Formats: sequence, structure tokens, C-alpha cells
Amino acid sequence: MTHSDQERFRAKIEALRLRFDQTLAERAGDVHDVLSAWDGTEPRSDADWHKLRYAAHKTAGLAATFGYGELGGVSVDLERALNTEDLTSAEARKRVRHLAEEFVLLARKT
Amino acid sequence: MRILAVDDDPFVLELLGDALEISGFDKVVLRSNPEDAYGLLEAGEPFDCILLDIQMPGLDGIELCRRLRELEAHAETPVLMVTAMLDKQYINAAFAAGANDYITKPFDVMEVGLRVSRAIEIHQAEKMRALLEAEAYEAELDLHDQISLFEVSRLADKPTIVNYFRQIARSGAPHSCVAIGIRNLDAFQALGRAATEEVIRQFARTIEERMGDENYLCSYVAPGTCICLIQGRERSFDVLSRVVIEDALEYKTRGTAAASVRPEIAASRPVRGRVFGQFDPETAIETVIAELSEDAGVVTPPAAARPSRSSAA
Repeated sequence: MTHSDQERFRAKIEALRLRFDQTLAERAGDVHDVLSAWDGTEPRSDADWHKLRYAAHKTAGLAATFGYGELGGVSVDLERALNTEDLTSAEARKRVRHLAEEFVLLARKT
Repeated sequence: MRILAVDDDPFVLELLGDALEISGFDKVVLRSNPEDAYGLLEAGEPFDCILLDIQMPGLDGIELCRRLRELEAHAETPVLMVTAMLDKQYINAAFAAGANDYITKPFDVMEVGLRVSRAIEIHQAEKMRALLEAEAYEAELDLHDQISLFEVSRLADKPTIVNYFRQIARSGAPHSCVAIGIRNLDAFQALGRAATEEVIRQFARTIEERMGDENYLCSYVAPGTCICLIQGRERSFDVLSRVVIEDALEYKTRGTAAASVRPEIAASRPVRGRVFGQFDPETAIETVIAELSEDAGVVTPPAAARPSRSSAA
């Protein structure tokens, strides 16, 4: 790989990362909206649960690749909690909420 | 090298494309819709490696892998699953569906090219090994072997049939011997080992079926040649007429590697063994084989060893 190839590649990855940042901001907004509308102890609807899962899954797979390791880790934990824990349990829902808040915080820092 | 990457996430797809391009893969086809990707594969588009996301809406990566394995063009194309760490529960299913390896998301962009290159190298090495094995397989075919005839009953090696012949002769029971062979075996050999084995196997089965419940033994004594020894009158061999066996063989080899050649059968005249050990079984066997090689009945065995024939009996 020549030096110019490397430069071109870095530029492409950087451009992609900037677009990913923009998407992260939108996802953080979506998750924040779900949390704001959190009705007592849980999201209002299946659509809200789906938004959380979607944001966590899509971010878990890519954040670390773009250098956001901590956000990637939280996303993995959030996705795992959403998929494997008993969400009828108040404790599990509390944990999901905590992870979702952390997700918003880290996603907005990027 | 042509690579196909399928992922519903546009970022992952673009990243895979860039990573593969920078790794030297000049033709990378990206598809976000798995149905579209299957359409390309089904249309016979050639690819040297395929990357599939596992979790995709509609047709997931595991099902797509299973389907593409049913396509002749991609039955062996290397397939790498690109999967989130949490999808590891699906890895076994992916391998069962025909995947060769997997890359875990998040991935190192520089690692993607290396993993794909490695998968292609392994595949090519495997193809080469299979090719060399196939060549060796063809080269090693020894038509004197008992080629996969173990499933044919009443098949014995030559010493056994000679002993059997001798025992019957001593008992004084009537017995007869005949040689029967595939006259155009070389035409099947030209088609390859699979065709040759198939025609010989079906040849032995046909003899077995035609002889039915007769008290006989059969031996594969020379390339494409069997001798049959029967404890009984030589007319028992009437069931082994050339035309009947040719028709049966042609029918049995339909749809096999041997289908393109019409088998031609040669048969010796039956030799009736003399009673009380006056006739050497080995000479009888050599006589019927020699007669067969001279295309049935034109050879006159040496007078001293000449066995009695049904016509002379």
C-alpha cells in the first residue's frame, strides 16, 4: 500500500466517522426521547423498546471501530440487557434505564 | 478478486468496502438488501468470497448462507459471517448453514482484508488438494481390484472359486463354468474412474440378479471380467445372454457417469467340468477367459487341457 493509498484510505474512514457521529447524535436524541417519555417504570410502547434495541445494536457493532470504545461497551451491555434480562423485573428496567442514560451521555460526547 | 458484502447497515457496508479496497480487492460488490444479494448469486455472478451480516431484516445471514450453498456456483465459495459479539449464539447455526468463518463486529478495518485473503487462500488450497486427489484417484484405479463389489453376494476371489470348482468336481455333481466380460471397458475408462466403477458394479449386480437362486459363485478375475461357476447344468447360464445383460446394464447406468456409453458384453461358451477330478479347474477358468478375450468361442484350448463343452457333452 503506497503512502497516498494510506492517506486516501484515512480520509475515507474519517469522512465515514463524521457521518457516523451525526448518526450517533440522532440516535442519542431518539434514546433521550424514549427516556423522557418513560412512563413511570418503563417505556410507553413496544416501539420505544424497539428504538432502544436498534440504537444499542447498531452502535455496538461500529462504535469501537471508529475509536469510541467506551460507547461501544455500553452499547453492548445495553443490547445484552434488553435481549437477555427479564424486563418485567423492576430491577432489570432500572438497569436498562441507567445504561440508556449512559449511552446518551457518551454518544453526545463524540 | 470479486467479493460480495451484504449488510443492512450502510456504515458497516461502506466500511467493509473501503477495508477490502485498501486490501487490494479490486471488485467489491456491496448490497444492503439480502434478497438483492441472493438475486446476484442465483444469477450466477461469480465471487471469490462472500461476507454476510447475521442479523438482517427479512432474509437473515444464516438463511442466505443456507440458500446460496444450494447454488452450484457457490456451493464452496468461502463465506464469512460478519457478526456482532452478541450474535455469537448464532455462530453454530451459521457454520451448520455452510459458513466458513466469522468476523466479529466491531472489527479492525485492516483485519478484514487479511481474513478474506486467508479464507480465499484456504479455499484455493483445498481446491488444489481435491484436484490432486482426484488425479491420483484416477491414476490408482487398478481394474484387477475387486472394485466396490463387496455388496454383491456370491462373489469370491479366484482361489476360492477354484477350490469350490474342485470340491464340486470331487463330489461328482454336475458343474459348469462361464466367463463373461465388458467388451468395451476401455470406453468407460475413457470417461473416468467413476464411470468404470459404476459399469463394473452394475455388471456384477446384473449377474447376481440374473442368476437368482442358482447355486453359483462368481469371481472378478480380470479387468471387467467375471467367471461364474454353477453347480448344475450349463443351460443355467442361458440367463446370462449378452443382449439381456447389455440391456440391463444400459438401464442400470442411466443417470450415472457411465450413461453415455452402451455396454457391449462378451461371453464364453459354458464349460462343463468332468466329474471325479479329471478336469483341472484352473485350466477351465483360463480357458473360458481366453475364449472371452478372443471374443467368445474362437479359441480352441490346447488338447491336453481342453475341457468338455456342452456341445460335446
